[in-house]
Amino acid sequence: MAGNRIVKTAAALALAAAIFGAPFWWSALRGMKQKAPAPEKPAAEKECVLPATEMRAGHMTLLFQWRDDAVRRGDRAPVAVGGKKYEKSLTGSCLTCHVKKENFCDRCHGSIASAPACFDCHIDTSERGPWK
Amino acid sequence: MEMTRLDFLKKAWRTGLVLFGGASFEVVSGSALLAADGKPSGRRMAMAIDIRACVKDAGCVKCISACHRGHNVPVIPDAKRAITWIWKDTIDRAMPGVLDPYSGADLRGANTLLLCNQCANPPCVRVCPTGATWKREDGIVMMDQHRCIGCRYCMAACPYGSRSFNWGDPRRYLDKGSVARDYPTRTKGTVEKCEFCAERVDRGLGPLCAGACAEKAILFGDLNAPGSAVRKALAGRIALRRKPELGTDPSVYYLL
Amino acid sequence: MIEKVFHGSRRYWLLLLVLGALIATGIFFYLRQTSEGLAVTGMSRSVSWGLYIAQFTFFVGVAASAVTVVLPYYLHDYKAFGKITILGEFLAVSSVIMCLLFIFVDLGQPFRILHVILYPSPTSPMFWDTVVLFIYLVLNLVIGWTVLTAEYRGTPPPSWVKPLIILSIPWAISIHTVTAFLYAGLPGRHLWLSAITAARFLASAFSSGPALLIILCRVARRYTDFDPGEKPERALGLIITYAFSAHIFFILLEVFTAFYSGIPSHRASLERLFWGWGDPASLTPFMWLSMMLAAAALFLLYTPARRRDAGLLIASIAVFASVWIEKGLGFVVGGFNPDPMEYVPAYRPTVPESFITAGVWATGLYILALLFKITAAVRARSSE
Repeated sequence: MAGNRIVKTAAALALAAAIFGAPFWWSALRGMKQKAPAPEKPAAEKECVLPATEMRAGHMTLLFQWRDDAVRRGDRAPVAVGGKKYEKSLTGSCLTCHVKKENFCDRCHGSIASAPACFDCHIDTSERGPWK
Repeated sequence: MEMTRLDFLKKAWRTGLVLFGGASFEVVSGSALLAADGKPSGRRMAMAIDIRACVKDAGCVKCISACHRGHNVPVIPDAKRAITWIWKDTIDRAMPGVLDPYSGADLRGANTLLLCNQCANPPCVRVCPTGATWKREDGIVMMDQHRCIGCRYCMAACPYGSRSFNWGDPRRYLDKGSVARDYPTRTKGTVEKCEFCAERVDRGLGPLCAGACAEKAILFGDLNAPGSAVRKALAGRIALRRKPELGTDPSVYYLL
Repeated sequence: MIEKVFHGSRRYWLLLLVLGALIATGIFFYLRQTSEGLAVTGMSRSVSWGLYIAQFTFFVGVAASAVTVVLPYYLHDYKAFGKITILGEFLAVSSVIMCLLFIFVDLGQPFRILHVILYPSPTSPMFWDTVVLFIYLVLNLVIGWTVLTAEYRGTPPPSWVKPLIILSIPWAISIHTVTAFLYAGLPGRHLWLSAITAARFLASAFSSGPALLIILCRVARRYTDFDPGEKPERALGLIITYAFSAHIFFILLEVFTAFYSGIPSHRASLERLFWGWGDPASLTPFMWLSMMLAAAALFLLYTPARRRDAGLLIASIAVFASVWIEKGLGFVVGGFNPDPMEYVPAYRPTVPESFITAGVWATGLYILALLFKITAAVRARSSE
């Protein structure tokens, strides 16, 4: 009687783990075949606002900083890096070097299934034609 | 000097007022624009619309097109769901009860321009539960599209109908090829409105609508600067504001 | 104790099934709303809040009305309410959950809802409403569950629960007052901009809430082993009589001030609600239905011989329906009509909007059914 109950409980737990963990199992299986994403680097420019390692890890922090400066603090003064001036603007600065969002942002974000809403409003200058 | 009990109570009361009341009072009353001595400190951006110059061309929509194109405001066919930053309607609707049936025959039934009043005491800012709409130091009432949760409390609070909500995706009514590329669009589920072209004011420019008006009917400037175009126009003319009795203290003036 | 929800009659499972189906339908339409936006509702530039926020307002009232049984029982030691106090608290729990869901489905950017906590804004009544509602939910859940657990074990409730119960009494008043302040402080919305808005809300809450409780007691008596008895119902009937009279009185006060003063903006919303200004899509028929139900209810309630049995049930249904229309639709939509530019666009809920609303209702009833089921099972056991 007691043994039966333990078996039943264990089976129920396993089933629950299988169902509720499905997204994780699925990603783990799929991830085994996946290659590391290769975002397209700008042809002409060699330097970004911050070193590549810092941009890779913290680009969102920088973008939030720029966003809050420009929108909330009204501080739209350009950022000077190595003699070059960058406007605090996603479309106006980032996309001038990384011309195709599809080939840059989307490569990494797509591979980890993270979909930030930036371009729901900000304009991807490489796109043409009507929006869906 | 020894402090009497009454002095102490008075002091404690004032300290309490400053500590607990001060911060919120500033937000609520918009007194941030006045220094301690009651004199203006800093700028307060304001607009004066010359009603008579504007009515000269009843069909003119130059200012509206300039604003809406420049800010990617979609043209939505369903008027009930339209997005408007600046638009035209009759003076009687803009300021109910102001016109009587006899005076100013040229203004009866005529249209004027409507936009966000950039109130010094904005009810929309007071009610916003996330700080998505707030008043800058120069008096411009801003919208943070990143912060807005789309509760539309500000629309209920605005006594001028100056706020629009994106009931659906606004991009359906825009074209990738012809949008202004230096200004974002909005997305569904957020509130938007005129921001006195804050992005241009920050660069020392005036609003798009003012620049587009051939009649120079839209004046823009600092209300706290006696020499500004707005102040000069106000000094020599009579001006009205929309629903002044509500205490919102609008920064948009209508010159008669 | 929670295992009681797994043992029920066929009727009980059928109820859960039907409610579950309604919830699923609601979710289906809500998914459509998330993908297409609030354009699937009947709301517009002018009427920017509709059925969702109106129903939210109504159910804050139902939630607050738990105080009408809690206060007499705990402060006045009115023993007859002993049997239904927990029902009142559990009704509050499911009502607050419905309120939070109504707010959630009304948001244009629901995934940003935590911005309310992340960027707290003390000048906004909506911030305070979220805070007090959430605390009220926790209070009632903890109180109801603790008292019922004690009953289940046959022990007196722990002493720490008493201060919480006392706290829940002013807290109930506060949730509905803050909800009224959502409206009563807005310049230029004259139907709402009234010092008695909070008082109106409390009066309508203390009539519609107990009315629902009487209906639920009748359902319990008919379909479960648990019978709350006649005495608490009679007392609730009396509370409804007073509160509902106050509610109607307050509406008449608004009518007097608006029409005797003659100020056009004060008159406009009431005129539009009750006369419709020739617009067939106005809410006028509903408002008059609400008033006729109110008259019928008052007739029944003011005749003591009818304030019992079938008469009391009919009066309760009439009171609930009357307030549901007046507060759960008319008050909110009416405040937007005319709009600031004096246009009077009509508002009608759409099919998706109605099904989403029904889904929230079903969720509330589902939770209520589970909580009542536990209560009934515990009571049936302790009466053995």
